[in-house]
Amino acid sequence: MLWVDDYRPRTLNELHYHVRLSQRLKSLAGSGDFPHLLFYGPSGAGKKTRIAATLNELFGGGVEKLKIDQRVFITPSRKKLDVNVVQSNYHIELTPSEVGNYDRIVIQEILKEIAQTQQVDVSAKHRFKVVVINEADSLSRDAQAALRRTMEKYMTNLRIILCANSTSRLIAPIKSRCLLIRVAAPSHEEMLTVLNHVAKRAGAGLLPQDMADEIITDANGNMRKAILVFEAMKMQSPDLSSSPPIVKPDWETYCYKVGDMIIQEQTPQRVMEVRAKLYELLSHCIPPTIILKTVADRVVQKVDESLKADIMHWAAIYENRMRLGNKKIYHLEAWVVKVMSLYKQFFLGIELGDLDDFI
Amino acid sequence: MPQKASQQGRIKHRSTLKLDSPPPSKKFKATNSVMTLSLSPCSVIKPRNKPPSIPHLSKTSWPVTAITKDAKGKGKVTRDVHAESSDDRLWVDKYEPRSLEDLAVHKRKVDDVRRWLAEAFSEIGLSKHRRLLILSGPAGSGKTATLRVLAREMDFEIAEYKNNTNSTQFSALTGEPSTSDTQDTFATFLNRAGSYTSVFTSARRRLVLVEDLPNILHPGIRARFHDTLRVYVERASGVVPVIIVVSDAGLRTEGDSSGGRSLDLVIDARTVVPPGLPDSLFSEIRFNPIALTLITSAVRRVMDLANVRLSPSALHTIVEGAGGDVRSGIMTLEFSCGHPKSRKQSTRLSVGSIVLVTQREEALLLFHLVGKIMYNKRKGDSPSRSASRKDIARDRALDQSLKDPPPLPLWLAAEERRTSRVDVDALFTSTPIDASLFGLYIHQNYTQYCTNLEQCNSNGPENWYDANPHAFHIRALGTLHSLPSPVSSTGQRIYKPAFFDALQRERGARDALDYTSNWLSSTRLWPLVAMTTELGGILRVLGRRAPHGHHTFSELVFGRDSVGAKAMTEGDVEGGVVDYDEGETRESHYLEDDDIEDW
Repeated sequence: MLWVDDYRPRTLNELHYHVRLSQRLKSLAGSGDFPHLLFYGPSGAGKKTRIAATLNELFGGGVEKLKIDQRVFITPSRKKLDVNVVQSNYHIELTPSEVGNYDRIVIQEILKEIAQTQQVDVSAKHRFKVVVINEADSLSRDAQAALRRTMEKYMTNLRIILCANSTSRLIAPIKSRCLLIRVAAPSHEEMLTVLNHVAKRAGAGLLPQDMADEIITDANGNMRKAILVFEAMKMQSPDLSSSPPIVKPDWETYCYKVGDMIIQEQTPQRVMEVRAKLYELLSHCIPPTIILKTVADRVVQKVDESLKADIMHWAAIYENRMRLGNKKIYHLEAWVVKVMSLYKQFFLGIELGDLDDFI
Repeated sequence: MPQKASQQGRIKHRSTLKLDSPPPSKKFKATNSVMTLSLSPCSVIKPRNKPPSIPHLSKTSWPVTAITKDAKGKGKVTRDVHAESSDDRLWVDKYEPRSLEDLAVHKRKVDDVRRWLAEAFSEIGLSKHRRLLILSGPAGSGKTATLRVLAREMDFEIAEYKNNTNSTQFSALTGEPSTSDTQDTFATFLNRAGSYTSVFTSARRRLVLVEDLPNILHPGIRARFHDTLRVYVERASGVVPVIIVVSDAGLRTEGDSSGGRSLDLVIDARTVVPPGLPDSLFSEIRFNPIALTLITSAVRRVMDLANVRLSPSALHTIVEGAGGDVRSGIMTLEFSCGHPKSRKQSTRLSVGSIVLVTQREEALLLFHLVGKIMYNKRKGDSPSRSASRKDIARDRALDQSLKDPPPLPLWLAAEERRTSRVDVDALFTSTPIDASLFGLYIHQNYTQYCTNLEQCNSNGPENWYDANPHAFHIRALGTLHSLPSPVSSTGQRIYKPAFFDALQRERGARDALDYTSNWLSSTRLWPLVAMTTELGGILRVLGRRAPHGHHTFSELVFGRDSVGAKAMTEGDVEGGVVDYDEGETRESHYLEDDDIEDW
């Protein structure tokens, strides 16, 4: 087990930061009238920890008796979908976006099943069960529409807790049916508290201040990442005396190098080389959106001020297209070609305005 | 005919050898179905030029008695069939080549076969190594015809093996067809054909022809077939040469989805020959599709014999449409000459209707399809250095038939292109792949053909997504529009999309992620993104304690790229790749299928 899982707060009282949010959640859980919730915020901010803690507040310790199941769903075209589901007597948690475009089927089946069964446990605090849906912002529109309908229909038997990075990809009807709860990234000090707490519980001794600062800066508000890095460091030097440098993850350096490739040369030949790199990234399961974002960040650092806005503008456009279409590689590559061509035009001193007219 | 009666008695008695008469042709089965009901698994075929002693056997019409017997032998049905005057046969059989001059096969091929036969029949020398010959080649390339002509010329007799589908015995207990029976018939046939001569024959030499193979796609049957063949071929003496005719299955067409998926499912020379048989014991002669000129003369000959006339252009259409298949050419001729009864009048047909008749759904090879798009030939291109005069003339004729589109208005002058020689509609009808796979091929290859970056830019595939019924046209036209013209040739090769390789590895990584997720926690779902982007460091530190296979998603070394696209060759068929795409990509998370157009 990793520290992230081991020393994770179980109840709302144990949470270290966003104290007022914890209080609100507590009173919500105690009020007896519990709404659908939508937790949103950057990754590693503690959304799922708060969801688990809220469930604990709602139903008591019983929610911690968990088991992971693999559920099989069958599409109308007789395709089998395997979805991992975490379940207790009171709730069920799943990530429907795992199955891509078939998420609607998973949502419908699961919700129908939960909604049509009554809570049999008489000692249960609430009559409803809770369905936790992870990565709600990657749900397809179909799935979101299906969700919206169910939320109204089965209010007596079930509550839904959605967990998303941002609300921008959720359709408005869903947002309006939920109580929106923003979980902001922890501040530097808050992260420091948590890291020290983890260090104490893990028996790692005192965490040196400069090392903590380094970890926190690198994590950029991602608590999970910070703890993972901390644990890795602890493994490398058990007494924490010499702090080993924080290494960037492979994929990140890789993306930076791809960005550099784009800047160095703008030829069809180079496009093909970049394509090979992109394929490599994709085949390591790095989400295309993250690839695009990281490469774009890198490119923007290197180019002239006047180009930055354009590059990001096109990154946004191709990111959108990537979601609409399939075959992510097309859109990634299209963006690469676009950036190369912008960069080249810039150096040739051609008015960019002309170009935009007929694109 | 006392002689005949006694023969029939004997046939019934032995019930293995049966005289099929008169026309010993494989097509006969189709025209006169009664014959196929025969009980015997084989037929001894006499050469077509009957020795003068019994001329009436084939030339005149006489009652043929075919004996049918149901599987258990309870009843006997006897029917008299009046073989009509040979008019009813198809032209292919009726006017089959009788001499070397008539044969449309290239002379050198015929010589090859003749030399092999001569060596096989010679008393000394090579005959030991000339026991098994495989004639392979596409349908209608004259494999069997060559043999028959040579049989006449060299005076030997052909004993042909035929599967007898009607007498399939069902075992009483299991209800399954007893394969051993059908297999044994082959062994029996081979032995008997090797040892006994037909009662009618005057030919001194014989060979065994196997055209109708047992179902060797079934592993058991194939094993036994191989055993039988091996034992036969390796026998010390007294062996009659065996010739096996194998027609290549049309692997090129789209409908043949089994093609290429597994070698086991394709009958070719390799599957027929027993594995491990020394090369010296068998030979293979490959027939090629027949050249246009040869088909033309063959069709002409049939026209003369059948007394029909066709305009040169119609003849040309027929020959073109045959695609190297003489049989198809003659069939088309017969068909286009109308009903058999009315064919006495010389018919004139419009070329259009012949096109309707002859058009085959032959898919364009993927290789050529991509090439056609990539080379972006336009009107007025200067011919390449290697082009023959004929090619140049053809291009010129094509250019003349192309109409220039009206000039574009001034503000679109940048989009002006010369008229394309590529007919996208025609490509579309003959494409072997669907639009999305086509997109992948285009995507993989177009960059090489661009000379500068701007040409890559407004390229077709990127700007449209898949849920578009006109995707193929948009892609093809968009690509043609953007590519430079003429395309600079710098030794580009056409590659298969690297996409599938990447996809496969992505799936491998996904499995590793699943595994890692279980390893991490048994009660918590780790977000995938967090695992791929944040776990790398700790997994590396963990070293050997880390879950197996995690490096498929956590390790990325720049410059060590394994996504290499494989070059395509002309022989490549899209079979395997297509299946892969249809079946598997749909499962993947990042590759949503066309369901996306639902909303």
